[in-house]
Amino acid sequence: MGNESLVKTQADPVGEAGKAAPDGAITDKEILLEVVDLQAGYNDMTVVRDVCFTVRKGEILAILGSNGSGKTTTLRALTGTIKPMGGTVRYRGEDITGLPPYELVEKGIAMVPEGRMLFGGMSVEDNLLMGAYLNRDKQAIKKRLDLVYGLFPRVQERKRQIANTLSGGEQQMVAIARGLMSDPQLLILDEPSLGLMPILVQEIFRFVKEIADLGVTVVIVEQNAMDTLALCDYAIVIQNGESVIEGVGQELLANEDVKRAYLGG
Amino acid sequence: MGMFMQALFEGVINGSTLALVAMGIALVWGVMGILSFSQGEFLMIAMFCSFYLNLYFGFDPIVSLPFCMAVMFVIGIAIYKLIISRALRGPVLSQRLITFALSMVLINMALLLFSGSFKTIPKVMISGSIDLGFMVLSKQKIVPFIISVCVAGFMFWFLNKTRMGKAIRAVSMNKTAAGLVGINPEKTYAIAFGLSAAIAGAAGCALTYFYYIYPNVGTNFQLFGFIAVVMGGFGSIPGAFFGGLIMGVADAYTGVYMNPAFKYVGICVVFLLLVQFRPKGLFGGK
Ligand SMILES: Nc1ncnc2c1ncn2[C@@H]1O[C@H](COP(=O)(O)OP(=O)(O)O)[C@@H](O)[C@H]1O
Ligand SMILES: [Mg+2]
Repeated sequence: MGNESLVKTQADPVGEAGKAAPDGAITDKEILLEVVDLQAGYNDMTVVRDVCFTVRKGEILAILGSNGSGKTTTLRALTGTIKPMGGTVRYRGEDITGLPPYELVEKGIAMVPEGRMLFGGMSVEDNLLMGAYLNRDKQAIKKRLDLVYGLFPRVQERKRQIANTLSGGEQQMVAIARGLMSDPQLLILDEPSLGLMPILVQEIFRFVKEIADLGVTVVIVEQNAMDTLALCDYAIVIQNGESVIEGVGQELLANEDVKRAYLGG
Repeated sequence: MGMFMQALFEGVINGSTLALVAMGIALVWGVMGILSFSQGEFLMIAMFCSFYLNLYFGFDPIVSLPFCMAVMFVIGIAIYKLIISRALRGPVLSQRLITFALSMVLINMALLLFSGSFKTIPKVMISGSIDLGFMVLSKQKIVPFIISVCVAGFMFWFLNKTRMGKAIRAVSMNKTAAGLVGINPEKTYAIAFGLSAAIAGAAGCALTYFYYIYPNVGTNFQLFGFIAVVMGGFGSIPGAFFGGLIMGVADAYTGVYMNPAFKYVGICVVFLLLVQFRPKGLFGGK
């Protein structure tokens, strides 16, 4: 399935390097997002002290850490929902530190926020259409909608329903589907499994895998470390606002320190 | 019977003006969390605008309507940019009081510019009355009613069908999520504020068809419009519309069936009962 670029991204002098390269394996190594020494917080209180990580094109990066360690704050700062206090965020080589979220959407970054944040009074389909707000091409939006419905048939079944009458799992699917509507290159998911039954958690993880298979780069924040490590290519652990451990998913899974500290093992 | 129907007629006419004032208050509250105490003054400014367009150019208020709305839209955007957007970055108390101060300034400016005397538009295009036997319908009052209903209809269409309207609704439902789908909240705030001024302006311009024009004219409409918003469920625009109509009718009946001196008492009792038994308003859900 093609990942048609429906949202026109701005001229991009740096990031195109890997796109047309014929020898598949090396293209995966292109750096898409780079977060260096990020600092952020709320009203003079620093919550995120020093977070660094790199996301490569096509991979799934997981951000793990216990409750309150600063994962959500990190995501808010890097998507400009709150102003970072320090550090740099680069996307395809371009400095995007502190740009507001609506400008990042245009560049191909979408975030599915913690707690879903649907437009409660709108129908499911209107929520999805809002996800394609910056796209003015009706035909392209329709195509995108079909693609997203293909991925989430359950969402399609509910398309006329008002969003705040959906169950938690359905809301989460709509939130992810809405995030996909802008045809992002980078999709950031903040605890998509929060508050869901284990069966649904598995389903959400399967969707994340499918989305990654479409060629979308994924950053996923989770507390559910075991399942996430099995899913992701690379993971970092945030503790007290600092990124402390990083590694390939499978390796971290075997790491005794990680197990003891974060996986309750 | 005649008296009952006549009061209903007067109430609905008056209520349609209140409905537009209330819709503006609900819109601004829903989108940016600002209590707009200056809707009544936007209505007043548009009334003077209509009056002078008639005085100097002989325009009928119906002709002046698009012009008054456009002027108020621009004034609304300017006020948003100069005053409201700054207040939004300040402490909550100043956000609550800023439009109150603004209304004081606007009233006094109008007193200074236009004096406190009562003005009316001497001759309008559609006048006369329809005698139904048991009641008399003044055409001069039907015109503003029709205008108000059309403007309200336009607002519903705009908010539900247009791209900008949907963005405004999205921001009022969830500001963070709106930003994350690519909406610039600041822009929708400015447009929502401009729209609220424009629909109050439409109400004001229409009202000059039969009503006196003076600097304090907005005060009562403001107060009643405000109660109408609470009645309709704070922030609900359809709720505000019907709340306005209900307020108009309630006002007319207390005026007719009770001593007019108790008019405000009647309204306030209705208000207090409502807050007691349906704190989220008639249309505000559970
Ligand atoms: N909006 C906010 N205002 C003030 N403090 C906040 C806010 N959101 C989170 N915090 C605080 O920041 C810290 C980190 O929170 P968060 O980033 O949400 O952690 P996580 O997502 O890892 O659970 C917590 O101590 C939390 O109380
Ligand atoms: Mg969190």
